[in-house]
Amino acid sequence: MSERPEHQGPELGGPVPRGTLPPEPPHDLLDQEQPFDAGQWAMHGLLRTHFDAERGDLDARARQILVRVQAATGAGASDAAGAPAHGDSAAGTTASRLLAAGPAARASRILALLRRPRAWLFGSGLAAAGLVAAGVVIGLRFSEREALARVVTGAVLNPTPVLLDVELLEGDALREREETIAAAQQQLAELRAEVERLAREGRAEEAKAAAHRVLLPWKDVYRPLYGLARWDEALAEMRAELAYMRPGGNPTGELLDSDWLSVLLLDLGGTLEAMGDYAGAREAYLASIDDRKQRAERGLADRCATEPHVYPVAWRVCTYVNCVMPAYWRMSYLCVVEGNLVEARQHHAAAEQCLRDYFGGVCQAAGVSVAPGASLVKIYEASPPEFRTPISEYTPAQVQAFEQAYNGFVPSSVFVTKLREHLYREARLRRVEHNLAGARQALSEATRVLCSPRHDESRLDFYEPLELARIAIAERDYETGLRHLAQAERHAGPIRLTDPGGNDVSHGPIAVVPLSELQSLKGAALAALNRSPAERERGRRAVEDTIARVARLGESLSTREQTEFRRPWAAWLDLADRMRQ
Amino acid sequence: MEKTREALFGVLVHEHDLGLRAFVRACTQNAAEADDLVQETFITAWRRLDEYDRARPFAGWLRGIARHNVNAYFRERAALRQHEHVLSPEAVAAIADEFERLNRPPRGEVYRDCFAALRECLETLGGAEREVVHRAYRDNQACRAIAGDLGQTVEAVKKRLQRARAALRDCILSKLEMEAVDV
Repeated sequence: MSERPEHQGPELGGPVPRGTLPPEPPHDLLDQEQPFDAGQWAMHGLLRTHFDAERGDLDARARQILVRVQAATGAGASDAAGAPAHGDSAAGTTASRLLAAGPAARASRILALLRRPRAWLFGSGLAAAGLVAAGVVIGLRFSEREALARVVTGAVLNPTPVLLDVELLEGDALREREETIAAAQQQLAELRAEVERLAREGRAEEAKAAAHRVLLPWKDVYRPLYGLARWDEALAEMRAELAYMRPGGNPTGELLDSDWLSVLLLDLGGTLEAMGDYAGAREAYLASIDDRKQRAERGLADRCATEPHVYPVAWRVCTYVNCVMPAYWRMSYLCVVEGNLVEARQHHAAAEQCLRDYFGGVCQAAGVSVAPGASLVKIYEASPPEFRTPISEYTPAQVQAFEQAYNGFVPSSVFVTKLREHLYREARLRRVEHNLAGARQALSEATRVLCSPRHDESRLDFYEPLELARIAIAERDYETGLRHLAQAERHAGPIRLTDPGGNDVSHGPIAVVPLSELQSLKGAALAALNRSPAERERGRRAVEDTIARVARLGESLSTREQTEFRRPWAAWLDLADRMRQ
Repeated sequence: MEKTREALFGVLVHEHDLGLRAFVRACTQNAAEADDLVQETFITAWRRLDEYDRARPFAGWLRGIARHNVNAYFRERAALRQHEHVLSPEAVAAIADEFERLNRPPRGEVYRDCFAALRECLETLGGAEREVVHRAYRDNQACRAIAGDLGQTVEAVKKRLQRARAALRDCILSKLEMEAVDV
């Protein structure tokens, strides 16, 4: 039941750093509690502009605007460089008069202006380079920057963990995947036929056991289907499995009560979420949480009844971290996608409580007291060293020794990795809540949790820098954003992990959707920096390409469903549209 | 011909940047956003230059585009940040009307007269008013800081600023009126 961080993008803070621009002036000069007086506001604007101009703040800005206007309208930088500064008087020559004048007079007047010595202050093509060197060029228009802010703050690129595994395969790779699906379907059909045969023959117990065996490989059918973005087919398989579990849905006529139900419900929720059916996803996730809690409590009762030496507290909290917490994470994220941040926080808190119970339980067993209200990381840091930096695998004797020493608790990399992933999710949630500083702090705290990449199937070495990039871009610090993106990119390839059993497991590269987000953010940040027209164009294309890839992921859906499918990507579509204009 | 248009447009940007910025700056408190809005207004103006009716003041046409952009900006901000104070389209229109008054033909086509008048009017302000205006706008001090420095309440500083702005407005309008009569 492994979970991967379903990354998304959820804020935007107050005033943001803008390169070398002067500090933002105070905002309290207009008494906004007084009745609105347009004259006061107009004078406020005049005074601001007057003193900005007096200080010379506006000359560079005016030139910069001209460079940007001319870049946007196709004119060269040399024209911008030739424009007179504010201090230059046009000697009574108004633009209106120039407009009204004939072509020859216009050319003559403008030539005269451009020949003025100060007009060449920045010198031809050096103007754009000079502005870039000064760090004041922001290459996105307001509407584009706002669209980008929505992308990295409120909007989501891949709103569901299901999408993290989607691949756009072609050629041999696609054929190979389809063959795998066909083989799994064949196996499933054979198992179902076996159940039918046993039921027909009246071998009820054997039929029931065989029916349970049917449930296991079903995921090998529907997961590759949604992995190929064949949403409807995957959904049909999941609903078929759900129906099969019901008494009337299988040849045994009995309810097939299986642990696989809670897994299936999470997968179902993820698929519905990806398809834009949030109500359906909510129902599935809540059902999964409910089922997981019931199973945990039932399992505990069974163990207490059959194994007197069981450590109930440790067993319960470990089960909650492993089984219930991931479902809370899913619900929390769904609420983010729905825009319900209050409820998102509630589910996130429920997830956090699972980890608090675990590390708090460890501390208690170790006789370490923790201050009431201590942060999760503090509790983790108070736990014994072997719980903070567990090794891959312990011998049965070591496990027994730990159980005896720590009241049933055994160190495991699983819990440490989950703690770090939770902090990543905390950062993500804070970003959605428009708390960028808090988001960065959560990621900083995460680095205090010594999670080994060898055990991290959540790929936090990719997702944490990606999250830092989102925060930096939300703050319009595009250079830093690009650095974090480059770091994430370095961890996007295939990896080898050690599972909790100590086995080496290969994982493929980061899949198309998260990688697309990375490429898009990179493109948007490059366009924002506007270091050159070519780079801006490359950035624009990167965003457009991403949107095209996203559109392909919904191709198998009906037109109406495609609309729902693309809804979470509205901010990206908007950004691409604005950059195209 | 196209190059000539571009160069000509450069002059337009030069001449109208200050006036346009003053209007946008009156509407939004954020200098960086004001830059973007001014920039976007000029880009739109360039693209729609053929629609410009030369019989009408260019500054008014530009301000119309800027008004549209400012309203769009506030709409987007309101959607993005639910609790943020934004100006209503009516308030933006009222501010635009104020600038229309400060920009009446035949004078003030390029605001240079308006800014020149402002410079003179600042000299006529009483000492206490001039002090708070300079501290607030020239030195970029917040009201709270000014109040601390001058040993006054924040409310008193705000009131003084309010009186100073009203006096400056009357002074500018009267100067522009007189110059218009002279013309």
